[in-house]
Amino acid sequence: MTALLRFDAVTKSYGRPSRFPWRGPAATPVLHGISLTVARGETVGIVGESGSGKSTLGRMALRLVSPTRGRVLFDGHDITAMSEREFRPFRSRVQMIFQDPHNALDPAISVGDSVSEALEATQPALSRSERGERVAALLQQVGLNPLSAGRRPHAFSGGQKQRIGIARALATRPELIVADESVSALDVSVQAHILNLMHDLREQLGLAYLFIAHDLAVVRRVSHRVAVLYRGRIVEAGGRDALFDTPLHPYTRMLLRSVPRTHPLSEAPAPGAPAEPQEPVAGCPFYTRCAERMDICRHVDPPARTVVAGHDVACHAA
Amino acid sequence: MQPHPPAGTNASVLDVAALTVATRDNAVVIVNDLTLHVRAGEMLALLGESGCGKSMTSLALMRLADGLNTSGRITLLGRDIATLPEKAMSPIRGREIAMIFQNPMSALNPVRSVGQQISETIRRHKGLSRKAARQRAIALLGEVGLADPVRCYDAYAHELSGGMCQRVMIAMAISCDPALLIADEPTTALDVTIQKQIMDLLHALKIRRGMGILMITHDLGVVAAYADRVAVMYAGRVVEQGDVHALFSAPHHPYTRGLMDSMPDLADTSDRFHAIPGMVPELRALPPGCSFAPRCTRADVQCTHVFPGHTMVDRNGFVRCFHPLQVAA
Ligand SMILES: Nc1ncnc2c1ncn2[C@@H]1O[C@H](COP(=O)(O)OP(=O)(O)O)[C@@H](O)[C@H]1O
Ligand SMILES: Nc1ncnc2c1ncn2[C@@H]1O[C@H](COP(=O)(O)OP(=O)(O)O)[C@@H](O)[C@H]1O
Ligand SMILES: [Mg+2]
Ligand SMILES: [Mg+2]
Repeated sequence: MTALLRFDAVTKSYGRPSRFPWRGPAATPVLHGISLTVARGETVGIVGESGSGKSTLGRMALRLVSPTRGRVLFDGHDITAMSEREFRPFRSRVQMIFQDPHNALDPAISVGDSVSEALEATQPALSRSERGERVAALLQQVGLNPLSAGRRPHAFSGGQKQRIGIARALATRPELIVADESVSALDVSVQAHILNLMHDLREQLGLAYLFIAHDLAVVRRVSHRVAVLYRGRIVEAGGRDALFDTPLHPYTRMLLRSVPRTHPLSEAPAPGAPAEPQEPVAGCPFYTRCAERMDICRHVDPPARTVVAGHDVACHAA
Repeated sequence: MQPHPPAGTNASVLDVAALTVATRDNAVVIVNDLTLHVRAGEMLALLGESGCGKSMTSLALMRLADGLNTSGRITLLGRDIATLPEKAMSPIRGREIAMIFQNPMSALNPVRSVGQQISETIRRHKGLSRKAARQRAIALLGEVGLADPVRCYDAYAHELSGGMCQRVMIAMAISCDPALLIADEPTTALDVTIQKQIMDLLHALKIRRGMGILMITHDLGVVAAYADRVAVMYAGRVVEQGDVHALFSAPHHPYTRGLMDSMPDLADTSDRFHAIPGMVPELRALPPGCSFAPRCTRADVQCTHVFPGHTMVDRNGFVRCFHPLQVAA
């Protein structure tokens, strides 16, 4: 079956054009040879430190960023090669929800109008009253009182604003939602409500998620598969249990060790303070911070290989 | 010479009693009847969700809650600073209490090197010569784990990573050997790997220098891993306080239990997350009685009329609840 979303060897660099090579090397790519798929109804988690390229990858799924090399396919169609007109029918099929629901909402317009706006953009044929009904249904679906449609965003709490953002995203009946750190700014008790909502919506609507987050415990709970990004590369990818229970890449292990346990009586994390990132070497991007590095790692960038079916790692030592 | 009690003693560095902060018209009580203490060489975590009054508490402790009605006692190293005039208070800031924040980058001056900023702080409080202050600043940058302190001295904030900036802020905060460090969400903006480094550093400084630390956080993981004691705050009040091990093993307040259950754990793989029903009330519209009652499965009619007083649960802990959870046998 065709994957709903496929990144095919995607590379993205922002940097000086290579026709001036004497001005120094082009900037290192923000994303480097990324291949990843998301199936219908599947949640794929993306983890990695800030600057690793998570948001760039997410934005590419919506064609907000175009790859320098490689292709992005939605439902088998290469959206990178499309004209604006060809892309139009695809626009409504992928939506995004953001980290800061506050900034994502226009403070001057009511939340009902803001959801209505999203409807209008993709379903212009709806009558006014049909639109009103859809808005009410959407607000209800995300757990908000439809009677509050007339209120402006400032009257809502952070968790409620995130619900509004989700209602807006659902308005176009998307098949895929890119959730970029969409619960990271919320308090744990609020976060739990939003994650449960996202889970229910996936079951009800068969949504797929590209779930970007830095909280590993959350990612483990919500994802079917997880990809670990380091400096724009997928250093490890696998089923969530395989990846969390038998991590293969030293970076994945470092990330897992850094997570404070939620109970003081649970096993203390192993020592081994991770180093600050430094200038990369020609070989493995993780070389400067790796406790298990070997000579080859300095010079040769390890290619990704499949260790067991569905579990890939890019490491000479693994 | 040591201005504060040495590590290992049980002396309180900070003793706060009945601290209340309200708007001028008393319409909104932001911090309500807060009692806590921090001992030398101890980390007390003030844990709570956003808007519960953590930052306001720290501002009040620094005597920076301007334009608000503040009452209660704030005893720092045996002296009540709650009513000190600003002239007497300002040399205490930095010297006896220091503070670090969530966004170190924005707390640093962008047009001066980070070393200069530390030197200035040292000179202001200690009256050292330019050269001696520089040397001390470099030593501090080394102490907080910056790899090349001499080079770092001349760096500007924007040239450093978030984690490095936070280390610089810590160096500045400890430059005058304060007895108490208030850290307001110091790792919230950092990646987990960097968060671990910064928390490890604060932990080491606490032990090495015998400094008391008031760690303000919403992160139970940080509390569980690093704090000695914890005060759980809800809607302006501390509702439970105790030793971290005791409290996490057997929380007494239903809110504490709810928070612990909401926290995703790496080991837990179930699909749904435990969620506390309802949401945090607005401070200007607190329900009568216990603020948590509308969300609490144990609440009865008493809870909706009176806010429960402090009940001691052990030598170090109390809970404010009429129906605390039973300790598992
Ligand atoms: N429009 C842009 N121009 C130049 N560099 C960019 C742009 N967008 C992102 N970057 C860089 O790409 C890298 C990855 O960014 P991002 O995808 O936002 O990472 P993450 O979401 O993992 O924090 C960063 O180094 C960032 O500075
Ligand atoms: N000057 C002020 N006047 C009235 N309310 C305030 C003032 N400053 C803060 N608040 C309110 O006090 C509450 C607690 O804020 P804060 O201490 O920043 O919470 P936290 O740090 O726990 O997130 C918030 O609801 C905030 O809106
Ligand atoms: Mg991002
Ligand atoms: Mg705060």
